[in-house]
Amino acid sequence: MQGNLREALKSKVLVAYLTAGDPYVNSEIVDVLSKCGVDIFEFGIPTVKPKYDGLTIKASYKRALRNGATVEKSFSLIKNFQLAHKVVFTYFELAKAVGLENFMEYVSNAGAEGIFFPDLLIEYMEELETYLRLCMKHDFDPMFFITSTFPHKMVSKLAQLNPAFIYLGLMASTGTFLPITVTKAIKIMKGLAGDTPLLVGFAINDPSQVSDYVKAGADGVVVGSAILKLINNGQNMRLKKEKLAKFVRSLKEALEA
Amino acid sequence: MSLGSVPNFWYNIVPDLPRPLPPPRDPEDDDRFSRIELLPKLFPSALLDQEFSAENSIPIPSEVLEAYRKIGRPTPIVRARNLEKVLDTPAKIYFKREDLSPTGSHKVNTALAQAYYSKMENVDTLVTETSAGQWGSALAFACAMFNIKCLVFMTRSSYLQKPYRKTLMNLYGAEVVPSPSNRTEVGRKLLRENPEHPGSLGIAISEAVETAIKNENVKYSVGSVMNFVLLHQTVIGLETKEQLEELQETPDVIIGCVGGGSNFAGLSFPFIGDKLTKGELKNTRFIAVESKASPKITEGNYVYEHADTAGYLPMLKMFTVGRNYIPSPIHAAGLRYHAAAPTLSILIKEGIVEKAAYTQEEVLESAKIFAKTEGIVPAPETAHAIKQVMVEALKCKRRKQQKTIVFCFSGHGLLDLSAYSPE
Repeated sequence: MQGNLREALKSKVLVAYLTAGDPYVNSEIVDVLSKCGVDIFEFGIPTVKPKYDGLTIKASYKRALRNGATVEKSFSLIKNFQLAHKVVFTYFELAKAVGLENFMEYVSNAGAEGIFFPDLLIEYMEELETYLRLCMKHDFDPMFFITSTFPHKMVSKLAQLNPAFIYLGLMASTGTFLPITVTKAIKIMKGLAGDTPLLVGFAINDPSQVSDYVKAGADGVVVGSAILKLINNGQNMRLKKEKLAKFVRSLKEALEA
Repeated sequence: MSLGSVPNFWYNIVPDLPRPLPPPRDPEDDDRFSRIELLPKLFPSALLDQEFSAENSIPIPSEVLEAYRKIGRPTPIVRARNLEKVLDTPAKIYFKREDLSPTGSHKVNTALAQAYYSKMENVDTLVTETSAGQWGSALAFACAMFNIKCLVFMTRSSYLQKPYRKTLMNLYGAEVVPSPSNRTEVGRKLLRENPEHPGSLGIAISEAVETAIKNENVKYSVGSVMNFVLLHQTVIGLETKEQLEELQETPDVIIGCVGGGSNFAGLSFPFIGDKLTKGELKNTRFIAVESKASPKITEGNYVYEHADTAGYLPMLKMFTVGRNYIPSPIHAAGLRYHAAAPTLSILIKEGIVEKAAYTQEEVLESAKIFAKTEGIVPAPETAHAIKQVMVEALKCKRRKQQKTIVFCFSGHGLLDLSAYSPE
């Protein structure tokens, strides 16, 4: 698998976030996403401490946990999805509680190409070396999460570590849109990231955002809450799949335009 | 005395910090609503933009520059020679005169910017809280300048003790309501429990925030803590930098008092920025001085906490004594706040900013000496900075060092004279 992800990241990518263990996240949904142009799947592990998540993903974690999701079960679900590219996005705090070595084993066994932690550099900066060591051990490319307020020096240093990508969280929490000019932040962070692909996400739910962000320098977009909102309801599966397909295609078109 | 000039940009320290600023968060145990989602209800988008800005330099709009000049910016930096003489210290003491604004404190620097951006976004009314009255009068003034309505929740104890502040706000056309009030849910609840409730800054914030959330075209104005407030205050430090250069002085010690941290940040952040990014000012010390009545930076914890008592605002990672902490009633009401701004908190955590705390008795003694020697009556908040200045100046005397000490004279005490009169 090593190297594939980097290959994929040479083009503009559409990334879909899904919570592993959310009962609404099933193989039919994943199939639709795949067929409509999602390049990379990013799986979240349900947690009771959703630090930077908005209401939609928080609710998704809750459904998963009520549904009996555990870390182990979530990873076995991720393993069962046969997909070109899978990465894991969860909190370092959770991974530490499980045990970092074990956690990375899970990621590797699930066939994911890497893992990144939104809270690693914000709350556990001193453990960056540990993360890098474990990535090396499991043959993962490192990947980093940053926000618009990250120190510029640090973003430049992260880029020098040759990560698969840097993920810029555009808003204060997932799925929570704020009326702020994020294109400025994208330009600045892309300038600092240089050749490292810059993915952007949080509260993307419209093709016009995708065009604007790509124009500003993003190499890919991540969509999570908007997808969950389309599938987290009692509508019949056919209708859900239709809506989802239409939505994802519109994003993909904007990405490639 | 030096003239200097008004800078045409504000300095945003966030991208230059040694660690990433932890983002605002919603509480984990409450998904009834998202505080972060409420932010656009509370603040004009231009201010939210500044709150999350990735740029370290943000242009000051020409209308705000004009307003800054109109209120007398650049404010002078003055050498306290008489005080030096009385202390018999080889140290040189400079103070930046933020008391010279129309309302007597540094607070107008952000009030004018907030009122301007609100006007641009067609906001009808700005609502806020005040305890000592410094912030409330600054916002009332700024709203008058930009022709916006202003509603101020004033902690009941101050409302009763400081009638002149209320009069001043009324003169500017603001409506002033004692808090807790029966205008909000949080206020009504507290009044039911205790009809004589003295109020607190945290409660007043909650009332103001609730009013903004529940009313169209009403936005909330904040006098400290938020990144954009500290940003606007950097006009103080940027002017000071130029003025000190003109005077051919390099600051060895920079001092300011801390309620939420805005005047301290305003003076010190441009200098700290030079230290962090250019490797200059290697030996310059930065000292934040708080009141022992609300000892967040000296005794508090660095944790996520709501910025207000009721928890309507997002949680921010900061040094805090906890939002339910009730400080004893001191004259320096502006220092009774429960937490220090997130950016300042990181700098304290990293050891870049030092901390000190004093009691009311200690600082008022220093303030009296200052009034007698320099002829300007300090606000009780500012008195905390002066106490630390004297400590440092006397240290210089003992060690025979000619250090340059610079502090923010954040406000005058002419409307707080009761602090200085015998009981």
